[in-house]
Amino acid sequence: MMRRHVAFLHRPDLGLWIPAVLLGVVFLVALFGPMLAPYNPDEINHLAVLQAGSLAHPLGTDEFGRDLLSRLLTGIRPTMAVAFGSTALAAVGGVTLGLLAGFWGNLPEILVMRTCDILLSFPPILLALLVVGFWPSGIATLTITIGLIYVPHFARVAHAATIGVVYQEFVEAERAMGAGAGRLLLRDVLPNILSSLVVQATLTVAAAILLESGLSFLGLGIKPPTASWGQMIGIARGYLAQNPMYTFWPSLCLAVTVLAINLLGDRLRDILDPQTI
Amino acid sequence: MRTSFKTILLAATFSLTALAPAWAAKTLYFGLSVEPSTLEASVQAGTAARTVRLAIHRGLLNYGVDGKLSSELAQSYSVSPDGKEYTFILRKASFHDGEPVTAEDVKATFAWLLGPNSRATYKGELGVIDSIEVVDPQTVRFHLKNVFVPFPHYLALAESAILPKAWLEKNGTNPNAAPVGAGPFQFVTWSRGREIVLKKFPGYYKAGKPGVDELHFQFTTDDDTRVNAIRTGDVDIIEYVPWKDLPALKKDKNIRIESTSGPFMMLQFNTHFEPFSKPEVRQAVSYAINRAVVIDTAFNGAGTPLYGLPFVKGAPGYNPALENYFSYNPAKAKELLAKAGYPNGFKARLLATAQYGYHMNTAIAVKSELAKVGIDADLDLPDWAGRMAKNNAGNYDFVVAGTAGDITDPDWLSNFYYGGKQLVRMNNSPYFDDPEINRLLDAGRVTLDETARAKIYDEFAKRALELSPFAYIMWRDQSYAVRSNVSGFTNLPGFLSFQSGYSLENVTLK
Amino acid sequence: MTGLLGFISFLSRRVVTACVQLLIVATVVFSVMRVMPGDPVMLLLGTETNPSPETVAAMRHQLNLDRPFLEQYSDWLGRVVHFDFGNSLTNNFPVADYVADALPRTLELALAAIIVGTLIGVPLGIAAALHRGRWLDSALTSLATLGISVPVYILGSLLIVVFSLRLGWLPASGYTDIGRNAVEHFRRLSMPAFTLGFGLAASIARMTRASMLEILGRDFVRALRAKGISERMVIWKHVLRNAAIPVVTIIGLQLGNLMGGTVLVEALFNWPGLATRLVNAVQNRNYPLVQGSILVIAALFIAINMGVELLYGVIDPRIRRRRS
Repeated sequence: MMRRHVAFLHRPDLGLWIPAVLLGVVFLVALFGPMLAPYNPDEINHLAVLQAGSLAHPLGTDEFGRDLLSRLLTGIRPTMAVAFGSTALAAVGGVTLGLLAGFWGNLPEILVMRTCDILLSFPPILLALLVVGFWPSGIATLTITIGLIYVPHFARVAHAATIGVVYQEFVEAERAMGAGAGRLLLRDVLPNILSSLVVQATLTVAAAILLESGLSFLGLGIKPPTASWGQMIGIARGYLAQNPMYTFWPSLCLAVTVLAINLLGDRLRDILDPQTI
Repeated sequence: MRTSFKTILLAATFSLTALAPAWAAKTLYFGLSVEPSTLEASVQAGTAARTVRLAIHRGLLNYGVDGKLSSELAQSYSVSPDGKEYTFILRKASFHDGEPVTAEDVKATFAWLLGPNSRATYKGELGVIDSIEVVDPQTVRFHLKNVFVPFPHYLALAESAILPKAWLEKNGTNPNAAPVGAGPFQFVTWSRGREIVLKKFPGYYKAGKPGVDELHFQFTTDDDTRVNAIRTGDVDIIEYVPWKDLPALKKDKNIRIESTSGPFMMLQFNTHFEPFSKPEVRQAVSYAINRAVVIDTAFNGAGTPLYGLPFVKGAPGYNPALENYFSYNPAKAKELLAKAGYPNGFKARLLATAQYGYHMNTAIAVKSELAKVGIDADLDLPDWAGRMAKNNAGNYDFVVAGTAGDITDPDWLSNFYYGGKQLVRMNNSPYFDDPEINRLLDAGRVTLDETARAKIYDEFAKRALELSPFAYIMWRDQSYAVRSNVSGFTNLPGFLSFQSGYSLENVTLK
Repeated sequence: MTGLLGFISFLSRRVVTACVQLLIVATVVFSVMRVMPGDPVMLLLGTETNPSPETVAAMRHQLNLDRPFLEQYSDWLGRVVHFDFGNSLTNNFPVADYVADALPRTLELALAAIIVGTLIGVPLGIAAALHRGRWLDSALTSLATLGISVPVYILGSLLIVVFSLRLGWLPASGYTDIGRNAVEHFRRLSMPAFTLGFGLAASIARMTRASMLEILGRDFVRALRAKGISERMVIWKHVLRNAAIPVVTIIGLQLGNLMGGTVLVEALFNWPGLATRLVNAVQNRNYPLVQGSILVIAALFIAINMGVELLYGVIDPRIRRRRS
């Protein structure tokens, strides 16, 4: 473990930096994509539908003659907004619940952790189907739904860590000295579980991207004409025979992004949290 | 190493293909676009259900393959000079249970259809029947409350099929009873979620028909699956060929496409929504949409622009001078908008559905076209059930609709344009109620003289275009794909495309 | 004796929890369906004309949809306890029949995916472990990470392009009854099963590799080798057998994810399983069918998780003790 940390400081860790740089690029595109887009992503050109790549449209066009490159560059935004929004929601909600449950024990603990068990015992996509299939979906609905689905994951991590720390003697001592609950949790517990949370957050971002794109693929996510990668793949599937590259590009972008997040998550886990495998 | 693996895989796949047995010689597999929600004879529950019912049932009249009224269980009929009495002479025919078709059955069918527990779709139109008289076992007479010229057309609908009296007494209130009719095929089973199986009715009144022994209706809801199924020969006929797949299927040597240009796409305006309450604004929408954009994007080019009213050539009220009443003219649209008081456009909610690609894509194309004249259409895309709920409640500013007239008689317009008591209906523009239009439609229903009638509908057409409660976009090609070993299947012309199931009696297999 | 009692109390506690879980799922589904926009009655009356208000009211009464919410709920729950899920709204067929027809096809797909996943994952995991640190190991490990990163519908689309559109070997989607044509049946099963099984293979390969490495490092392996037993015997007879337990568990644990994956794979390949039926039922607002299908899926999911947990307990008694 020591050696690993030293190595990390001395020479660039490719396993960490390659996915990190990739994700950085994805972020930049999410921020500045619309400025880079050569066309208005919603601009219809009925005389140039389902074209293969050309000088005018490097990645070709979709069934409305819209520029695929432009739609890819803008379609990342809803996906990222939902993934990071829901992860933030899940982290804040889950950590708060987990900390309090672990700290208070007794009935609150039972209530919170049993509810988590129930939520965890259900395939995420079915939960999402139930909610999103019924209400008009948009970025807000998706973010809240996916966020709620991943609350239990964070709650479990926070809860497990909290009971570990709470029973440690120094906390007992501080408690005896009259430290407030809030101060105790924020000062002594939270820093201890930060690394586990970072790892969990990485996993959740990847899972949320997959879930959002899966729902959009089923036509239950971001509504057209606004583009999102999952939705583009879902629609392009109908044109596989006419223009296979229409499916290929958004698929590639999505797969590479998730791969980068997973690689980063694996590496972060190795570095920050070597006990858990 | 890699090559040998490839070879093995290839060999394995080919041997699997070779093992596939040929289908039983006289079984026809038909790929429906959806599992029918019900086979209840009097309920119009979509094209899929109609196709199945048209294989099982026959009415006194039906629409034939030429699109004209064809005498089925009725050998002939006559109308009294005052137009209020219709007398039908029945032919010798029998139901699937072996009992003959008699005047009593006809009377029982319509009594049931108009009875208190009936869910019949065309109960309103057939409500014109005052009484039914059984003259003798082979003769039946309808007495109408008032003159109703399109009456035979409503009798020819798939929903006016004749059912056995005995069956009705037993099963009249049970919508799930195994259907019995007098059509070319009799019901065998309905495996839920998978297929409906019918078999040849040997006692069918047309000698030598039907030409196949068994008919399997398989439910292939997904567009791509349905297309794959016809390509691989899993099914012999499919309905609702997706427009994007037409070019590829046309190239396939084993498949032919039967197309009809009959159903149309249009926009319905909620006339309580302020900008759309003004005819100029509705006209502006018609001028603003380049029909080619919708056709090329949402229908892969398979459609015909509609710049007037959806009147088929030769129909009463068809006027070549009005055929291109509108044109693609965004400047004119802007001018009309300015005149109506919206020089900078406005925002409106456009309802469509995400469940059917052609509805959604039409909405997307319309949105993009309207944006060019300053109208900002906010898309509302629930699934079909959600869209229907909003449609029937008038909960929209304008809506994308794809439909066809029910009958070939111009009275189909009543359902679309008539005001009256119920001002929010599925196929009208909510709250549109013009006394002049109502008057003309009423007159059209009761005018027996054909020249006079044509004149009424001509007048109607002018008024309808002036007020434009609908913006018509295009005729869409409605296609069936048929494998080349199948002959005799006809896509009925125009509006009647949805009743093509009638021609299944002519189908033979090579 | 205490062990058995402890096990029984653990088991009964899990069963009670499972029942509570199911009750909550049932309640949520029932409530959600009723507040959704869209009216099944209007869809049933045909979508082409405008039924009169009286007709609509009569239909609503006939379907028992006009009764108070709580009454409908308690009535439904009462029947569900006796495994009566009610009848489909659209054609009055029993929901149980619909589920019984579709469920085996979903299970068939899941089972095929497990077989594919195991057949691919285990050998790759072994190969990686035996070549630890060499290029084959890195290549296989990267492939495994890729495997869990590629969404099933992307992999599926890719397979369709290659095997259906380019090579023309396999039909792109659809289903053939095994009774009508068994060969076609399995040809149609192959792509969805592989799509679903690929991600599973990645997880299995990772687990096999880790488990193998752990066992290879143990003293008894060194002892066996020292005794002069051939390397092949050591690996095949002793190491593999000991490494199998965690691999079996991961397969069980992945079953839950597999049920989620079938939703997408069934949609992509139009495999007429429970998930496909569920999506259609939601579209038709077929309340009893949606409720019944979701309840069955949830029950299955909960049962699998319980089974895995019990299996854990049997394999490793420490877990049982910690749990209780």
